[in-house]
This record gives sequence, structure tokens and C-alpha cells, in this order.
Amino acid sequence: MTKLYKTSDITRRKFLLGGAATLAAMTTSFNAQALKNTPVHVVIAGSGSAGISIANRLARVLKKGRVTVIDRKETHYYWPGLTLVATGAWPKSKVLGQNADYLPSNVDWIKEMVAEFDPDNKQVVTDTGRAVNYDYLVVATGVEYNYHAIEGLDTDAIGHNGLASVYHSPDAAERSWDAIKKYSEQGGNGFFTLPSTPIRCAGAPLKMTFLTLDRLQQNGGFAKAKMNFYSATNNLFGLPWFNQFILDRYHDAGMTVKFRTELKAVDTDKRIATFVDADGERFETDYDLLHIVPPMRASAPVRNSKLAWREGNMASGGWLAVDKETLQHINYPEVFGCGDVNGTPRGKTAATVKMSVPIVVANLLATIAGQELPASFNGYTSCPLLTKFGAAMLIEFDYNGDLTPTYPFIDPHKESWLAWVMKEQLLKPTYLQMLKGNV
Amino acid sequence: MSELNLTFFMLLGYAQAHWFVVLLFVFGAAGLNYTAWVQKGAFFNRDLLKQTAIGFGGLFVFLCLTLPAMTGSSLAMLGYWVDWMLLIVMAGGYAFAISLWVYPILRLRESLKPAD
Repeated sequence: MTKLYKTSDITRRKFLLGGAATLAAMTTSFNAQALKNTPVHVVIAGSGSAGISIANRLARVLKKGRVTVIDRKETHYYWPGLTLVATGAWPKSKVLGQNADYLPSNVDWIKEMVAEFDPDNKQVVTDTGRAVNYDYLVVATGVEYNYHAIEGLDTDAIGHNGLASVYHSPDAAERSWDAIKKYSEQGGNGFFTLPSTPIRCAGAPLKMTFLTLDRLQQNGGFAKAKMNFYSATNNLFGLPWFNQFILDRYHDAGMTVKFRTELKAVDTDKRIATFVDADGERFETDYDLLHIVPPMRASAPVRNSKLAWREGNMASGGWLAVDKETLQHINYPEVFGCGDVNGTPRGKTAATVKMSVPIVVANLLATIAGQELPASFNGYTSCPLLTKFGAAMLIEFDYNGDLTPTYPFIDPHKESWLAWVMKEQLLKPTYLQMLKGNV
Repeated sequence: MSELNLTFFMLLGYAQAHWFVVLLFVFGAAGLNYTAWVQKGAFFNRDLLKQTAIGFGGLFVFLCLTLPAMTGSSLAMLGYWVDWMLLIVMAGGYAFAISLWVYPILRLRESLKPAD
């Protein structure tokens, strides 16, 4: 028993160390030979950052096992770079890659989409009708952008006639820069929105606003601009100190900020946006720039399956019902979730993926080995909050909202060039290391 | 520990992303220093080291003044001590790396001079 598995060496702290140290601790603590010879079939639904990173780690360990990745997407998007594309700092090409370059050669890649999860029968069905059985399942299908929830919105209009949205895709981010650039030269009424649902990278709308303000200064439109931020929630950022910091900056720039005010409809031809305020009153406003953050939810196959939360505040979005610490499904122990699809508090970021992948892999391997789960996730997430071109704040925190800086000597409350250099130069290479399962 | 791990993979990833420049630099520096080493006379020369040090100093100052702009920022935005540390480390590192090319080139030039 002790040969097979040694729990005492795997502590929560160790699994927060990340990277090679974690992988080393993990593979030495399990009986590597036993796992190598275990003929299990693990299916990973999704080939985003979480899916690929987990595939790389499992492929190294489960030599006799089979790892299958199900996802049609062949182009990989580096989502954290889209704010830089949409503000003209990066070309679109810098956020594009090929999944084939990142997936290990010894996994099966089914280039179809999961259409149905059937956890009772340990089976997923793809959109071509193919049934794939599994012993263990990792759900990493990301989020679904619900642009349709905004009446009158056609995503093809993004980039035209003052409409912008950083989230939709690299193409839309590139087109959004066309709209923002024009606005930064001409000024006018600018609106930035935030929906009431959990969203991927909650810092992105704030960065877009800061960088648009900077572009207005650079391109001469600032004096003619009236910027507004309408949030459907009660704040701009989940941590009070940073929320106030951002509010103060926006107010200093002459911006109007409204809370509990949600975008409901848009007429992209006439440039009219319709909002509902805190009292439930609808009102219309003209805009010269409208940056939309769509409501988000889990993808339909997860949402409509038994894997989704059925109660609680994550139920309406159909988010994956996992334990927030072990990331194991609450009802189906052979199912784990990773990344944006998880119905956990906070953290739909690449940084969360980076920290949670080793935990999912360790707990999955423990489940395969028939052991108790050794690893626990503290909800780590990170937001390099770009406050202007050339400066950023490196904000890292956990489920409790406690700051958890990787580099203790860097004060998260201070804007720094170092954080900008990390975001602009170093985080993408680190992300690629994460995809390979190294970080 | 976690910060060391992250820093290592960050720098490894950055080196991999710029593998061609890194390889060009490493092989170039190795080749130049080897060629200078096998020339007649001592490899280290006080005058040449002095010239290299002056070059290093000039390059260091130049990089300190221009690196922020080269990274899409500006000197005016360096308001935190970690920024200044980063600037010193980056400027010093790049200046030192360039010196690894400059010194052997000076040494080779010296050795190719006709004897008086």
C-alpha cells in the first residue's frame, strides 16, 4: 500500500508550487510503474489551454493508457493576448497557433465536438453521432459567449460603426481595434459594458477601458470624448482596494460609472444601445463606441447534461458541478473539470488553468490508483491589469480574495513597468510552457 | 520556490521563442572567442579589457535610456524600485552579452595588426 501511494509527501503547498516540481512530486509519489501499466481510457473534452496541458501531462504518465482529446478546433487562440490585439499593440498573428503543434503525438485526437455528455453510461457523443466511452473524463470545454442575449446584436458587425468586443475571436479583436482607433481620433460617447454573469478574464473589460483612455490621449480624441462604464454587477473588480483604485482612475479621467446597469439591446446601424438600470427602467443612449462583453455560460452540452450545477448561483449558467478544491465532479468521481467551464467562485483565467492543471492531474491519477485525493486548489487567479501602455499591476488572489503574489517583493498595489514587461513579453512564452505541461 | 520555478520556465520559454537569436549569439560568441584564444599572444590584454569596459559602460547607459521605450513603455513610467532593478539587470545583461562579442573582435583586430 505504501509502495503504491504515499499521501504524506503530497501537501497542498507542494501542489501550489506548479511546474516541474509539482510533476516530479506527483510522479514520484504515485507508483509510476503501476500507473504506466494501467490500461485506462481518459477522454478530455476540449483542446483549449486546460485540455492540451492535461493531455501532455497524462500522456507522459499513462504509457499503457489511452488519452483521447475531442475538439474540432485546429487553431489555438492565445486568449490573454486579445486585449493587446484589440488595442493595436499586437498583430493578430501573435495570438494564433496550431493545436497540432501543442498536443502530444501519442494521444488520439477526434476532430469533432462533444454534443452530449452521458455520465451515467460513461460516454460522450460527438456532433457526428460517434459514441466515445471513457473510464475517466476531463471536461475542459471553456465558456460559451451568449451574444444572442443582447437583442439586435450581430457579431459580424463587430469592428464596424463603433461596435467593439475583445472577447469574440482574434478576428473580432482585430476589427475592434479599427473601431477603437477611429474613436480615439474623433472622440464622442464611448460605452464599456460588463454583464451580470461570470465572465472569462474579468480584468479584460477594465484593461480595454484603460488602454482606450490611453489611445484617446495619444491620438487626440480625449478632449472630445465622454467615456462611460456600465456594469451589471455591484462593482468593477472583486477585490475592494482594486475596485476603488479603478473607480478613482476612471473618475479622474472624467468617466461616468454606473452599477447594476445591463446592456439589453443594440441597434448597430443607428448606434443606439438600450440598457436596463438598477430600478428596472429601460433607457436608450447614442454611442460612438460601444465595447460589449457578452453574457457567458457553459457550453450547451455541459449545460444540458447531468454534469451541470442544478442548484446554487452557478446553476443558471449551467457551469460544471465540481468541488472547488479537488475539481472533481460532485456526483461522478471519474469526472474532473478544468478551466473556464468549472462552476467555481472567481477565476476564469489562463493563470487559473496554470495552477489548477497539476491539481486535476494529481487527483485524477489518485482516483485511477484508487486513492484519496491528495491535491487541493485554493482558487488562484491572476490579472495583469494594464493601466496604460507601459504599466500594469500584477494582481494574484485566491477564492477568499486574499492576495497571493508569486513574487512577494512585488507589491500588487503598485503599477510597474516590470508587470508590463511580464504581460507583454514573458507571459506568452510561459503559457506555451504550460501547454506542454511544464509550468 | 514557486517563483524560481516560474522564473525558470518564463526565461526558458522566452529563449525558446527567440531560439534563432539565442543560437546565433551563443555560436557567434563561442566562435569569436575560440578564434581569438588560438591567436598568438595572451588572450587577456589590459588595454583591450579597458576598451571593452568603456564600451560596456556606454552601452549600459544607452540601454538604460532606451529599453523602456523599446518595450512600449517610457522612462517616466518607472516609479517603483523593482522597475529600476529590472532595468539595471536587463541593461547590464544585454551589455555584458554584447561584450562577449566585442572583446574577441578587438583581440582579433589587434592580432591582425602588422607587427612594428
